[in-house]
Amino acid sequence: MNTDLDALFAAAKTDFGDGADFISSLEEKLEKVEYVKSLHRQKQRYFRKCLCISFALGVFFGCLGIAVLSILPSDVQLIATLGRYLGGEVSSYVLLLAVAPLCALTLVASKLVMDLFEIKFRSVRPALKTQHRQ
Amino acid sequence: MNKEQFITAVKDEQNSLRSFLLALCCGNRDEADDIAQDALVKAYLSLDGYVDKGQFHSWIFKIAFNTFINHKSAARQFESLDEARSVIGSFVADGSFEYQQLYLALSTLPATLRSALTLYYINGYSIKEVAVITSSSEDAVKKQLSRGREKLKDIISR
Repeated sequence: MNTDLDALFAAAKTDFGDGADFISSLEEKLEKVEYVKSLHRQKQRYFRKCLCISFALGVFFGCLGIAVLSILPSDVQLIATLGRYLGGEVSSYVLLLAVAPLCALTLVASKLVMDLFEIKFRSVRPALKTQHRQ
Repeated sequence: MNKEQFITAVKDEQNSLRSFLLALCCGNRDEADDIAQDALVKAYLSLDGYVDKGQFHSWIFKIAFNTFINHKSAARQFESLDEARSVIGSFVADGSFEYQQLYLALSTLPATLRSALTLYYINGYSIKEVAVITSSSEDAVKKQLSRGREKLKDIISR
């Protein structure tokens, strides 16, 4: 057996030629990577848009709530006063209707923020693998 | 670095990268090419973190080395030449005898020794560069090379 390590290693320098197949296969994979990246960018844009809309709506309803509260006298209870000011017996329902969208928007916004962070910090590799398997 | 620049850089490096992985995979060309492709995709995804200082080759080799270490083939180490011959002989049968002899011997070494020897002898990297690629100290690489050489000589001369 040949004990000359240098000669042995020198013999193992395989020539792969121009590697056209290898490079074309790599280019194909990189195309897929770009596709997955563009999907992620689209999703991020969508979430940002939703976030902006829900933020604007939240501000609007928040301002509305503050405006309603600011016109109430401070020495009377809220529900009773609101009932008196709105001139109806269903004042608690009116208040509930005003507060509910605010709560809903807060929840939606929190979920969107969480999703946005998840997208930002999650690698695209799992998605790429899924696409590759398909 | 954009996609086109990346591919151009890879074209220059693909031969040595594939030789390195082929030796690490003990002559299994399909497995070596799969790891190479996987490593290059990982490198492409990490391009944002790459600062071009003319060290593209060592950066790519480092990623390829880590990909190999994370791959199941890195864990494969045969106890004897006969055991290795029975497994590896099938996929390097079409290669030259010289290659087979080396691949069989390499397959009995641990992945770290195999990597150090391959980078130093086949790819011609200096000890300093091998240390950077394998994230080891220069002293550790020297020891790995010395131990690897001894083991390889011992295996081959049997």
